[in-house]
Amino acid sequence: MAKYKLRNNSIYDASGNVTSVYEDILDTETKTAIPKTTDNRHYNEYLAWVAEGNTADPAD
Amino acid sequence: MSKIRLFGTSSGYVEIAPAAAAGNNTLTAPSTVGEIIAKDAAGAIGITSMKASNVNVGAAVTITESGIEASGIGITCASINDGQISGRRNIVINGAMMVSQRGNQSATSSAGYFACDRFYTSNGSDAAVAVNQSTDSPDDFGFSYHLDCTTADTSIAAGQYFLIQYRIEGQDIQRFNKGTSSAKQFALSFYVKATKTGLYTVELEDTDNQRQISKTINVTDTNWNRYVLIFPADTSGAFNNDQNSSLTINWWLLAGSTYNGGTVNTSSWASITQANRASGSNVNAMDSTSNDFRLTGVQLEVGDQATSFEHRSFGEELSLCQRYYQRWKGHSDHNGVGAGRGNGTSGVFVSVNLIQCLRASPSITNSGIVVFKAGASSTSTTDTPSLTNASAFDATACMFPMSITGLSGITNNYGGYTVFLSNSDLQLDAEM
Repeated sequence: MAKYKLRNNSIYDASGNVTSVYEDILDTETKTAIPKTTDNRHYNEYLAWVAEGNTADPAD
Repeated sequence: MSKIRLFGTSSGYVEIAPAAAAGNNTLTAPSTVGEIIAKDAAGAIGITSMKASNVNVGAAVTITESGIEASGIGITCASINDGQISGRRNIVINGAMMVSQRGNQSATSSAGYFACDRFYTSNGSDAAVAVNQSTDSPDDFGFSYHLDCTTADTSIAAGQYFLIQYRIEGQDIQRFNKGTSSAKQFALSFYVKATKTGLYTVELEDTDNQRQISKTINVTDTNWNRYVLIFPADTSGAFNNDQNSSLTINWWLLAGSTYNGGTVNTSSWASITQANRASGSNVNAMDSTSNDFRLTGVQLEVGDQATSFEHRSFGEELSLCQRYYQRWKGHSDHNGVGAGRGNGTSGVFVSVNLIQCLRASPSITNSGIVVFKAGASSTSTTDTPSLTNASAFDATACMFPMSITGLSGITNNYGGYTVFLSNSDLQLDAEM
């Protein structure tokens, strides 16, 4: 298991259909959900981790 | 021109001579005892020296060698030390280390926000520390930020470092006018008590423009001592006027040659040269498990004078800290965070009313949520919730849209779900 795992999160409409999917990142060590915005320090740490050649586990 | 001589009853005289400069001047004879006022042609009063022990202006103002006492309407002035006169002079939040939302941290080699809010342990060494909110503090304070070295690093590799950091939003430091011709100085003051005596480097790092300047302090004993560092103004590189980190205060407790192999830059702000950031004589405060380092009373203000520490109430400091980190205590399904609606058959959206508006989209830590619905059994999950989506969050609105997954028996788009925390705290982290 990698330190990070991508997650896809679905948003449903009133009829139960998926209208959109957004992605966030789970820090598998600290069980912290990280939004994909550069205002967030954990996301910047994730980007630095990726820049070092690492790859997150894919979303389910 | 003529002079006037006044002779007394014995020898000697007082001579009154006109000023050398052209123009009319007025010497007003005393109207009451002790008053002699000289005015130039424009009516300005000139005083070149005062030898009396004190000067009285009426009955309200007394000026002595010790200071100015104004018992009347007080003193009217535009600024103190070129900055604001009072209230929130100190830019540093939790400088007295009163707030500790996360609690103490047992021995760790990781970097992170531990113990006292807003202060970051930046550990890039082989050392490990316990980080505590300590009650060992100087007079006027109740707490300090305490690093207790639990694993020593006696062999420092070139790229290793250990810093205490304090990061400041750009929009909160526009008053320094950095990057303009009106740039102002930085007055930094703090108290340190350290087992390891010697030279420590303290650095201001402009993270917007990759500029820095350092100063050193010499810790000569193991007692509490106050240190005052005045950093020059910088007419280059304006701070971004936004909610992101622009300025970092770095206390260097360990520095490898990558950071101290050059000549430490203490004279003026400059583009960052890594080797010039820390002193070559900087101590290694992590060279023994007997070492402790304590910090408190941190104050950063405008100008060339460090004033007394600006104490704020615990409530004020907590509220300021909660812009960056908030924590809801989980406790056996007793603590609710809000009402939600179904999202699909296994998820719930809930809007959490924040304690304080957060600086930015936060990271979320939680591993235990229970969702109740009237007339139905509860459903629980250990999935870490997520920020519902980026567009649903507004940093100026004290509301946090949270998406919970991993539930069962949810009816899509139905309301009436109430969200409780089980034994896992909900933590929102918007630190820089």
